[in-house]
Amino acid sequence: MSARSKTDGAPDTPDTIGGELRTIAGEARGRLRAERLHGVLVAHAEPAAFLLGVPAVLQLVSVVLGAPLLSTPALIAASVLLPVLWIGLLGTRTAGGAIDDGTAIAEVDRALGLGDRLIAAHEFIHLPERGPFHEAAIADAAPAIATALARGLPERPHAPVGRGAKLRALAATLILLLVASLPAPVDSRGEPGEEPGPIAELPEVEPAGDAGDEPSPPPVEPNLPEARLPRPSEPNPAGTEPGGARSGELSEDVKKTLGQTTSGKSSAAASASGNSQSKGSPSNQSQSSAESPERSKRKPKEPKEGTPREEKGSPPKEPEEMSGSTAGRGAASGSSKSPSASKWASKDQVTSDDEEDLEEDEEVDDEFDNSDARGGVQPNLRDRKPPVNRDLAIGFGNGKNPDANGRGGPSEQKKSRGVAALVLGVPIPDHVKGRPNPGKTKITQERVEPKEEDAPAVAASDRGTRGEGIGHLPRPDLLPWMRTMVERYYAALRSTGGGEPPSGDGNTSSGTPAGSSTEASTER
Amino acid sequence: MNSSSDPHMAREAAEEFRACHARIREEVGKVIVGQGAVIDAVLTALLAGGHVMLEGVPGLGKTMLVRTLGEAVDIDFSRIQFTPDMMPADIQGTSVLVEGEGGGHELRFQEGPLVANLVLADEINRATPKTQSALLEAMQERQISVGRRTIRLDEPYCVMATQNPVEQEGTYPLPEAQLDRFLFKVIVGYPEVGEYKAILDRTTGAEVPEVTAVSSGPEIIRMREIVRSVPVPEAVQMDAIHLVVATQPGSEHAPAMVGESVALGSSPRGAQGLILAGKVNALLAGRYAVASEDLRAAAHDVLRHRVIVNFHGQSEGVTPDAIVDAVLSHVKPPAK
Repeated sequence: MSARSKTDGAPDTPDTIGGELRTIAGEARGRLRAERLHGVLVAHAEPAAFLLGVPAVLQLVSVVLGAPLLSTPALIAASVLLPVLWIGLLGTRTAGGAIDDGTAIAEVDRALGLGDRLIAAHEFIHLPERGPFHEAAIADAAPAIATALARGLPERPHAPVGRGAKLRALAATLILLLVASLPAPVDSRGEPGEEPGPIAELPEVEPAGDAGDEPSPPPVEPNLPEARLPRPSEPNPAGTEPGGARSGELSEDVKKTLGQTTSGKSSAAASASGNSQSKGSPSNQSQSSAESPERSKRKPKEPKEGTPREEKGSPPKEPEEMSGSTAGRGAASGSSKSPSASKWASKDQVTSDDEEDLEEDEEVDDEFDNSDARGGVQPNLRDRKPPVNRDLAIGFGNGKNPDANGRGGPSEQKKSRGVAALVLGVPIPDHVKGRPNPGKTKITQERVEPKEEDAPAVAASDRGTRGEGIGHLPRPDLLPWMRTMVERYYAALRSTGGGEPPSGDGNTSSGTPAGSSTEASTER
Repeated sequence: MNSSSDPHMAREAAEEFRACHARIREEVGKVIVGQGAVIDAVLTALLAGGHVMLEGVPGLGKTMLVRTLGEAVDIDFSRIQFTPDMMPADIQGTSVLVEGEGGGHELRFQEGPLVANLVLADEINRATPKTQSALLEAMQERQISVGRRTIRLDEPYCVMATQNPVEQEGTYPLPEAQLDRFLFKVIVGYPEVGEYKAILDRTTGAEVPEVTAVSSGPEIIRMREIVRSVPVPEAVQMDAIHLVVATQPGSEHAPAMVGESVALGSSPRGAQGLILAGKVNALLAGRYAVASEDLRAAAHDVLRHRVIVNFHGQSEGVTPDAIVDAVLSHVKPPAK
């Protein structure tokens, strides 16, 4: 259409260009939808592949647990429908939006490298008022439109589905096939999961006359239900175990035994109920054989739970009588084989004899029970290396202190810290021997001849009278006893005729009668 | 359709623009060998109405390029060699005591070199911030305020500054507010090996190339009007916005590198610069509307000085150009 107009040489009008742009947009829209759908598929392939396997895995788990959820057709349907629904929903959400003309034209423009001419023309053509540059841009888009009409939206390479998604889909398919190929699941109680077993259905569905089609009906035991009851956990492959049920005779027997089993239940259900009964009976051999591994695991645990403290000991437990005289004293008071007598504790006892240590340990342990405090000795003291002596000294006893550098500063890290340092018996020579060096005293004496110095006499002069008051002088009031003491003093002074004041303090004068002093003060 | 919307007018205007650009470029090319991208960027900024910062080591012809441009375009050209002791009055102008006609004395305002059409601010980072700030009003408002006097600067007005990126001792790096006023920051690199011979022939020979004025101030103003009349489709406008926003850390359009290595992104002046440069590029490409590729062709020059790399980015050796590259590859042109 447009190509023809270009070859004719007729100028394109805006209306013509608008129609051509719509054509381009319409053609591009379909391809864009497909691309978007593919994009959604690629983007969500991994979760879809995951969903593909979910029903199969669930079915597998349920089969293992003995309660299958789905039948095989339902499983396949669910496995297919789940990812399809997932992609469909997301595709509708993400790619389902309408693609307008502008978007489609922009895609074509940029895919063909037309320099946004189509975009500009599509936008400017809808402007109510266009300037010369708008018109020029629209007209300039004509060759680009012809190109777009001729080539269309080029097919772009699709992003491939991720390898992870492929692998997941393959794994999911394998699981699905595996689960689908499994025989009809029968749990340990002999009860089929979702579909009722042949035995359960036979009495109601299959007529007795059909039994003649079976090739070789097994001989039916007259007491079939009773025979089955003691052995409910026998492996029952589908179609083999209830083979007798397919025959007409068996069905008749089953019909007869209906009254003997629980009311209204099938023989399988009856066997299941028998199984539940047999669980409770201790004499049931089949049950005990089935659960024997579990019980063998559980049984040793019971006595352990009763004595939890003994679990910490060595596994080959010896009877307590083996500890001899230490029996009944607790773990720490036993011999060196006792669990609390650990290696490091025995390491610490290096300075004394073993016999004495044992005796002392016994005494201590008797007093303090089997405490884990190890007598206050910390594990970091196991090497028994004495702490570094910070002796300033120049000497270390009789010999030279190897650790002293004469500066008194820290050398190695102290081995005993904290509470351990406070415990008696831990040698901590932390005091400084000797006394601090007082240093040298230098006395210098000089002989200096006395020199005459000028000392001009200051002429005495009248200082004059004080012009101002001396200000406030604090006069602390005497306490009564002080006042009394002063009075006595002066009274005693007068009584002696103004000679020497009485020796001693007030206490001496206090020997005078109180009445005389009172009189003296009164006379004054 | 009225006569004002005649597409022929636009075609003629675009043709006139391209011819003017080609004339000036050819005249400048008589002196400057190579450096085609730098010449194009300088001409784009001149025709778009912006200012240019030329950054390069000494001896690459930055000053000569601007001086030649001033000669090729018949406009008032002035050069300011910035030094640390230069004061604002030295470039803006000041009142001086002059002898009047009647024999008396009077104070008369003496315009500084900033009052011109094309100002070459050589080694602008050697001036103190006080003097650098004197350029702010002139670059943005196209006017100078000295005392109570406000001087309108004549159009076309363009400041082309140079700076040396290596020798930083005794310099005062331009603040962001000053950098943002430059439309382009153009990195001037070393010439190609094949261009050295022509450079030596032209600069060491007896014959000195003569530059004649092939354009004028009014023509430059006319070219700027043409540039401004180029329309921008909405999708392209959105592309410019997304590109600028993508340089800002914390933006939803920003790539991870911006969040990690950018302290400050571009301002809206960056989008204005992209659009203006895109219009010039569209006219030079023969289009009548701006395309996304026109914006993206100018993105480095427009955005590199508007993106401030943080300490983490500097320690990792991230450059503003690398950030612009990341933005360009991260931001796809919007469809609509």
